Amino acid sequence: MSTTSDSRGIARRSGHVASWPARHIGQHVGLGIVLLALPLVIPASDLQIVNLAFIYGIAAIGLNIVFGLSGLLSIAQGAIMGIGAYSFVFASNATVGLFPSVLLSCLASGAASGLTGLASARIKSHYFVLLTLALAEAFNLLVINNADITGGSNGVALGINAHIGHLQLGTANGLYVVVLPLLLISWYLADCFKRSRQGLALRALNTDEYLALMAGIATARARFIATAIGGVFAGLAGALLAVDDAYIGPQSFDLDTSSLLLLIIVLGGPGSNAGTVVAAVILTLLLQGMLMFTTVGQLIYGLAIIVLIIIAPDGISGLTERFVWHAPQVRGLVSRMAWRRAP
Amino acid sequence: MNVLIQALVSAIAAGAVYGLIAIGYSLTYRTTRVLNFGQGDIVVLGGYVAHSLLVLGLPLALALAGGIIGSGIAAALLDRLVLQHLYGRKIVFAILSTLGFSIVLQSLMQMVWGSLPLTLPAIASRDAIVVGGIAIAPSNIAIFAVGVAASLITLWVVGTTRIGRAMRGCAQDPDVSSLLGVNPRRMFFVSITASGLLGGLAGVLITPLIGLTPTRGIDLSVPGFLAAILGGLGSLPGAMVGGMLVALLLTLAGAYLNPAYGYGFAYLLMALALVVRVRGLFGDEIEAVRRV
Repeated sequence: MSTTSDSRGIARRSGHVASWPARHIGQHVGLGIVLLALPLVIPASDLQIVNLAFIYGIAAIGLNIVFGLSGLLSIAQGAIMGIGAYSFVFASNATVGLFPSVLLSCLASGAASGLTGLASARIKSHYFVLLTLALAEAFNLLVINNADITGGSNGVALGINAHIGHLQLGTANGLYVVVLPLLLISWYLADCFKRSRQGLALRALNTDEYLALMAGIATARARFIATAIGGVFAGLAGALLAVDDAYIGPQSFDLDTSSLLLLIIVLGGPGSNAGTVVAAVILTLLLQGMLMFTTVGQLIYGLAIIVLIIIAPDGISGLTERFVWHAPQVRGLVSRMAWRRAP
Repeated sequence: MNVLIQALVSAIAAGAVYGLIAIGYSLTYRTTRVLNFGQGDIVVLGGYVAHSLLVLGLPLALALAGGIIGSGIAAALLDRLVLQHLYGRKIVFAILSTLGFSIVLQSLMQMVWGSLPLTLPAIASRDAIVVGGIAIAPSNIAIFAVGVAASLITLWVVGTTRIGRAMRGCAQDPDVSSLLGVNPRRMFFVSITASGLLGGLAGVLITPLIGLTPTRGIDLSVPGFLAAILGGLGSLPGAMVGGMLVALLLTLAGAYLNPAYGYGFAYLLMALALVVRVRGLFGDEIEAVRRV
């Protein structure tokens, strides 16, 4: 966040930049080929974990708008994902069709998340954290205690065979073909949002609310828009998770999920979409690897949150900035490798 | 009517304990602005340490004191190792780090004491005495008395003594109070350790009633949060009253409505309290609404 000195950074901040895929087209195509070849190289069980990482990446991109960009510490993103997943499963089990169901899940999550944004006009900082905690747990309790509708702790199975044409989404390969572009599109859209007028307003709001108010920013509306958009990404991720597992249960959307998503943001660097995607992949792979030792895994996980917050305040993107970014010769390289944008 | 009175009588013990936890939150919040998500786990740790000391053969009173000190040490470590590095930064990072602390403490307790429920003996007889058709357990009265006494002592220390004045000064403006010879970081340390000690006391008091499991912390955090908010976050008398109110509401909800939800009502009430009246009963309107 500190490369304010170069004029290119300022130009980017005001939005006058070449559109995203146009620069470094060669590297993008190269990385694209690697990503597309991935299903041919690694076995389906590993590809499933990659799918999961990408799905969490989409949800984390949404949370990044809420927490990283707007500074609203929400611990309800897991539950908001859950709202999307349940609406998706109910809709598709009622034979609404795949695409309308996904749309519905995005809308439901966006609306639920937008409600927290409306509340954030009045309920600030500490109180907002507690409100989202209450909402997250209320969602979990409602799901568990209304077993006749939601299946309780046992969850609900996805009754349909999700497919687009001949592409079976139930298989790891089939889902990968859909999840990868969706992740990239989400990343691109979130980047556009970050650089838009509204994104600029949110960053100003995050830095100093009173100054933002003085500059004529409609703070309450900005927060509402941010949370609603963040919720739409969570809804998409929830629907994809339901397709991936062909089943949903409350344990997929509890506080652990929310704290994983927050940890992804912290590791990636709040506000950085590239960092968020990289961190989502790293953390999901690590967590899947640690599943066999649950208690020690939890301990490492908790310690990682604390250590990361203390030593790497701006996460991966901050570290590259601090140690590498200022050396001009590696700067271009890193920028190409990580597709990193100026803040 | 009898059910109502019985519910009130049974609620007083839990109410005093929730009050202690809520005072811990408010004390930490007042001086440091941090919302400590690990408080519930610190409470549970107190019960566990006391249990281990009792197994080692210490008399009950010493074991309980050891449990309280154990919780105090955990809170002191939280401040020294984690929060001291984060005070200059945005407050959300400190709050997030307490979430990590809570996970660490939970998994440590699981590794040391396992996940099977343990318990402590009550500090007074649990055989109920029946007075006019209402059963009253002496242990509940004892818990209530000890809890309220500890709360009143805390109120007295913060309200009247020199160190309490310094703490309140830090809450208003750390920079100005450091000009007057107060070290704000030391005050942060003192208030977090004090809330740890109060949490430990709450832990050894409530363990005989609800038992010990490593994941019990969140069930204690939430009524504590709710009590602190109902009373007004940052207000110590409010936290005490809020604790009583929460215990009452939870007991009544359990008696008259669906008992399956249990602590779920606490979440519902918390959302309601936040939406309807952010500043609670005794909180500061300006503090609650304008603080960014």
